[in-house]
Amino acid sequence: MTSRYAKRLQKELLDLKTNPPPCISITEGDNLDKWVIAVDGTEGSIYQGEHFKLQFKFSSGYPLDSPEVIFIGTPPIHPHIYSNGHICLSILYDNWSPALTVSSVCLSILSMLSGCTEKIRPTDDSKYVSRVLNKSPKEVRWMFHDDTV
Amino acid sequence: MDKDLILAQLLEFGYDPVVAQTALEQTNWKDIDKAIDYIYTHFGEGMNKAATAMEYTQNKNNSTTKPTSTQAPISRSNSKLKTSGKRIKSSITISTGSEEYNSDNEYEDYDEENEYYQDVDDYEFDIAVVDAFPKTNTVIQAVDIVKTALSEIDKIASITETSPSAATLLLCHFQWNGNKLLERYYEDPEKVIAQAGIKKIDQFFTHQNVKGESCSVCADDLDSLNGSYLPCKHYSCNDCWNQYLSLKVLEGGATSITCMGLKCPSVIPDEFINLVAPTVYPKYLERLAQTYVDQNPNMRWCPAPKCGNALKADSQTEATALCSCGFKICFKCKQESHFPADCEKMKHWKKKCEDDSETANWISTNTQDCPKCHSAIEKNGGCMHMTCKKCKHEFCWICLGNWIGHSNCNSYKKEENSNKSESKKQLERYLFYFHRFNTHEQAKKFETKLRTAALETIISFQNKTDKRWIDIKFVETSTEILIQCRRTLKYTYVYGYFMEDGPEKNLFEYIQSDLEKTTEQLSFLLSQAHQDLKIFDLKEMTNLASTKLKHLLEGVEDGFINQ
Repeated sequence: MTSRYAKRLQKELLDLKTNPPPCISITEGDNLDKWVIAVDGTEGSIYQGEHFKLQFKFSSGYPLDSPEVIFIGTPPIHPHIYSNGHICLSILYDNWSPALTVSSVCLSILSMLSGCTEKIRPTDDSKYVSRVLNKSPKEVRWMFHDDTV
Repeated sequence: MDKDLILAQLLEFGYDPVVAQTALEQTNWKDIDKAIDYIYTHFGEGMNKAATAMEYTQNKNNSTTKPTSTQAPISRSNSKLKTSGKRIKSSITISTGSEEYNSDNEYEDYDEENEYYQDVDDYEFDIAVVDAFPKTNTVIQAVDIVKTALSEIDKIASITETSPSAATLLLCHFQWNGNKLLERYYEDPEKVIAQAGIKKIDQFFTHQNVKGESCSVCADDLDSLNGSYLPCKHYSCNDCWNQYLSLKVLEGGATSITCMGLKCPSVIPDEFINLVAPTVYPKYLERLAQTYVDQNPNMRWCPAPKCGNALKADSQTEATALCSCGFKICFKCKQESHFPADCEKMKHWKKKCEDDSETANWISTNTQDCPKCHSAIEKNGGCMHMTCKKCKHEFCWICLGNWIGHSNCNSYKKEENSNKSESKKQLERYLFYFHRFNTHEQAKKFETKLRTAALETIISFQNKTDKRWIDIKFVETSTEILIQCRRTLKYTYVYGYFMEDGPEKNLFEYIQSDLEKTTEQLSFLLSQAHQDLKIFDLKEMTNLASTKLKHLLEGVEDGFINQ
């Protein structure tokens, strides 16, 4: 990884450690390429009391190139989250902007969870999971059609 | 590089052979550019004139030979030559664009090169070449496309009184349709500007000190003149802008690259790109020019491999366009020009060819058996008149009939009273036309090689004094006309396939067969040209072919019977 991007990641890491947004905490950040972040279901949402883990992988192109973000462990049951941990969220793929940060991505995912009213898997979950196998979600062509949740 | 090739190239540029030769000798045959420089410095503006060159060489060598004694005939035939020279130009100039200027020059210079025109009768013959395909399109050479696009931008910028950056975005917004742009712009300039996303487009800041801010991408401090931002105030350092822009340009988004900020609609003006990422800028312009051709309804890329030129013509009125590389395209379907068959027929034909291609390929493979001794023969040249190497049997490659007494084989003869099923007959009929279509296609491929061969012929004859230069150059014209004939013949079989039986079709097939025969003869003459240049025969046959081609095309346009 080039040093100039390391600087940005270090800054983000420091921000997350010293001043974390509510319900978000970094659990693994020793390796700059791969972070694990704990996300707790917000109070009042249907995920209250549940704990999830997000994994961020950064390529050398970060932040011009988007990070690979997936849920590890047990992913939340949500219409935009597949059972293999892949997240259907436009800012992670087509609408990525270098102005986004790890913390803003986490907040987006958190708000996506909080806005949900019914715990269901995506309709094409089993088809999708069997098709992508172990591919990175960044290699999948995403169609973003639902902005409500 | 090969000496002959350099010389041929100079001749292509329109320089006189003597001048070119001298210049190349003086520059040790090294570099064509050096030779051209040499010509400019030593021969000045009139560099094409042989007289200058001769004087020059004479002075140089202190030669005692008298200056050309052919001065007198100038006045004898000059006035006549002038006018006929013009007529040549209008009838056989084949290429356009930047080359046109050169070829004009050539012909005008010949007016003054008296020694070539001693035989006026022969000269009269030069003018008669009929151009069956008058061209009206312009060719934009691959290297000039960016320049053309930029001048279009400048034009709009000056009319709308905006900056070039804004004009670029306006043009992209209107898909390079300048007239529509101006129409809308005069109706409501504010609205158009808002729609194209170019409000405050020219308020950007590059190489600034931004105290207290850091780059949104790499987190560097922006206090050493390294910050750049758009009116939307999304700060980033120049390095990161550069990386971002090169990424975007590589992705192909030449027009309207938006700001790095999340969902920020600000479009990055091209002046900003030039200032922040000068290394990316040429690539950006290239992509911009690409969209200029892609989106412009009156422009098409030349589909010939490795050509890269763009063709411009009015898509409403023009059906075809000719590229300076010799490729002719249909402006509607962007394929090779398929006149006299129209786009609809071509679509049907192609579908048919795809459906039946298995059988067709099997039947019309590359070899055919000699009808007499049955040895397999592969055709590797253009002419349909075949002579079997083994048994010396002469036959027509298309119908495999005996060449002696061979007249025409272009019309499909229904077999009467046959017991064949309807579908079998249909297939046979199709294969009949497909075979002929394919044979002309193959022949055309060989003849495209003839372009190279024509150039070689020209080179091999240029130093021989018994031939006039204009005659040698005529090989080129003949080749072009031969290729035109082949291309048209190929598609006449598509046209014929879809034609209703009747007197109209009979007449069409008669004219088609006539053109086919002439084309074969022309093809034969050209294939012999490098050994034995029968210039008079060649001219006669070229004229004949061209006239017949014209008749066929006119017949297709206006109907054959009414003529």
